[in-house]
Amino acid sequence: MAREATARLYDVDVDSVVTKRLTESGKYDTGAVSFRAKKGRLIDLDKLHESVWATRLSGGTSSGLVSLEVTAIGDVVANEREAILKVSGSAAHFVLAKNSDDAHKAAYDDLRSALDRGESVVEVTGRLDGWSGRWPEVLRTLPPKPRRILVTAFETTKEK
Amino acid sequence: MRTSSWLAAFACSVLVASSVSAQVVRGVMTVTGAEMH
Repeated sequence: MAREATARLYDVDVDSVVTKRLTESGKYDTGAVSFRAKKGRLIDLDKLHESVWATRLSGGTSSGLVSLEVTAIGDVVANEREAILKVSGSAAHFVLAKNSDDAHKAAYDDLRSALDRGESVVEVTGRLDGWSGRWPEVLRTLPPKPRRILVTAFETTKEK
Repeated sequence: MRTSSWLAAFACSVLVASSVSAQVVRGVMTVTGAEMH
């Protein structure tokens, strides 16, 4: 009941939160928590960071944050040096960058090619740079800004 | 039991995360847990 009461106050759709165990080997488990904003709302990463910090996770173990993958919607503008996603409905923006992961390293180049063809990039998914590490060190300070999304996928519209 | 406990802790963290100056529409937080309190 407290969980539902808390969820009603904020922007995360409580029905969207799903936890899934990915691996288990001995005492070290890996799991994923997926979540989505309520319709018409956005989730603030500063507050997410603050909230995780409030769980007071202990150090001295191998537990920690493996990664945080996010999806943001907006308009991507680019020059020769960089591409930036300006978030719709917010003053926030993300710098987009290449993912070093073999499975996704082409995604950023594909995004740049789509922009060169005149397509509008309207949605970007990727790992947040700097959002990984062991507890509690990873939580002591906010990762640097501007935030960088290491692109794994994107959506475009043809019109421009 | 241990796994469900730490996953529940993260789920609660997500549930209280909210904002007025926000940035993302969805996400997946991958965590590894051991001896978590």
